[in-house]
Amino acid sequence: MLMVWSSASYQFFCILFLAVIGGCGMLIAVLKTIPRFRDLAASIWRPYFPWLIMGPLILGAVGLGEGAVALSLFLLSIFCAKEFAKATGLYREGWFMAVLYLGIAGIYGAVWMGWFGLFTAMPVYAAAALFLIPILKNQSKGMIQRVGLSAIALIYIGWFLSHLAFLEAFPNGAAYLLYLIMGTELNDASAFLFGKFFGKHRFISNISPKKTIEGSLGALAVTSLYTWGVSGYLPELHFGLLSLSALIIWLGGTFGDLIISFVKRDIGIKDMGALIPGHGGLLDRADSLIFVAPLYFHMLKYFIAPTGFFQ
Amino acid sequence: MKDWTYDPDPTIEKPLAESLTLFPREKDFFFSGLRYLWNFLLRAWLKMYFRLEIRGREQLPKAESYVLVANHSSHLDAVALSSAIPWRSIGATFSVAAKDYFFSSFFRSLFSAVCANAIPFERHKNPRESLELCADALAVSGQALILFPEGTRSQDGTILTFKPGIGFLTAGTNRLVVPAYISGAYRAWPKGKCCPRPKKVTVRIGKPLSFQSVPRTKEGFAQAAKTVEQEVIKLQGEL
Repeated sequence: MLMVWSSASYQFFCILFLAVIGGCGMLIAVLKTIPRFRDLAASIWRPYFPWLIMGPLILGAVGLGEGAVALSLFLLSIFCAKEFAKATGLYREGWFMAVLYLGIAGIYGAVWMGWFGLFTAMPVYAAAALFLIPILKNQSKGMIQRVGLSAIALIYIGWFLSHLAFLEAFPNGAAYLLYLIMGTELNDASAFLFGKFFGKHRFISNISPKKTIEGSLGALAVTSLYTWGVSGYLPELHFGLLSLSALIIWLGGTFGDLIISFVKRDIGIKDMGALIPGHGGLLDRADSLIFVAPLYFHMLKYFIAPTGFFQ
Repeated sequence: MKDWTYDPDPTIEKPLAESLTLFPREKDFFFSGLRYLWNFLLRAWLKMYFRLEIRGREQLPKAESYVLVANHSSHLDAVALSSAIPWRSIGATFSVAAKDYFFSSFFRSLFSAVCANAIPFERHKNPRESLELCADALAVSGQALILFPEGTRSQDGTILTFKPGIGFLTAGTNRLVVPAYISGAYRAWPKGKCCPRPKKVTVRIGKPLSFQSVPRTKEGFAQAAKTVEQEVIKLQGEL
């Protein structure tokens, strides 16, 4: 069996990933030496620094193959769900938390077995179990909210995100996975940077006042250029599918970001956690990826998966 | 069961290192799981290595809040006492631990908060505020504290004078004090020794004491502390 890390496309994306991280580091170092830009360099350094750790972790997990990807995403889902529960107050509800975690474990169990049918059925079973808790506890007050919040965490954070783990099952899957992760993060970072430098027109002022049209268009440009640039390593995708990929990353990434933003704003908190300095919690970093994952997976499944590949 | 309101964990935007040192501590599924695992391993180790014996476990109150106190001459004391706590109360029992020692680094804080379920106690700067924290923990019925009223480990195994804090926590209230005497821990692992030796450790738990009729004055606190001290000495004689 061909190992993931020995494939040319994986190596290409690794080099690209490290080159982008290294290039940004050098750019910040240069900016730091210019007195006028010292403050700017410092403000970019904070969100940049965690990438020195996250980058190698992502590349390592993808390189080790499907098992490592599934395990890493399982842990990511669990800790994102935990952050969501901490933010909403759901974490005080032992039964709901137990079913939520078990449900996420079940979803990733199906991923690990490569059993797509069970993977699509698992959210149904887990949601059904959530609905049974009020009945078994013989309580009704405030139960819609508890079931609802648990179901959001289960489906949005657990199930949506877990689609990423299936990407590696495609032929040339590591390339798609890295393309998607890197694309989504680049999309985020460029929206932030373009907004910071050129942003004037705000467009979602009630949810995320810092989002600007300029930032968003900048992200579209960067994501399109990036997709076009790496297209040689995604040979199964023709021009139409490449455009669709870029569109999914751009729109999905922006929406994913805004979804977690409105959740935070509704609750009245700024960040979902404090695990990643300069970013907030894990969920603040993974928010775009969560929304993009199932969209991209289904695009690939529909257009390029061999017939009967997912059962 | 109450209606639902969003009630985020107040430590949500604080780094883990900082939130570990805060009390009251928020519920955490993983930490509770680790705490049970730690207690399981700990009890097995104490049983096998020190042939730990606990006498009078039935004296521990079932529904009321109480403070479990004992003599203190070894790091083994706290773990030996916590082994006496029934499994279902593990999450509701807190060890009172010196903040300057048990919360002095990230890993110590992690261990103290997760495994020992410790309340960080400022014994030098602001003991009064820490005592209030302990009192708040006791205000929830069914919650218990493990406390060593001597305030530090004895150098030679003898019982030191009990500090009046125990009186502050219980005088004039319906909270109970359960005295206990730990024997063998000093021989097994005295202060300053790096490795414990496999000596037999016995915990003798006495009858719960109530200080409801004791006045909440300085003298009342001292009197309660003195009574508890004498009860512990009495248990020593019974062993």
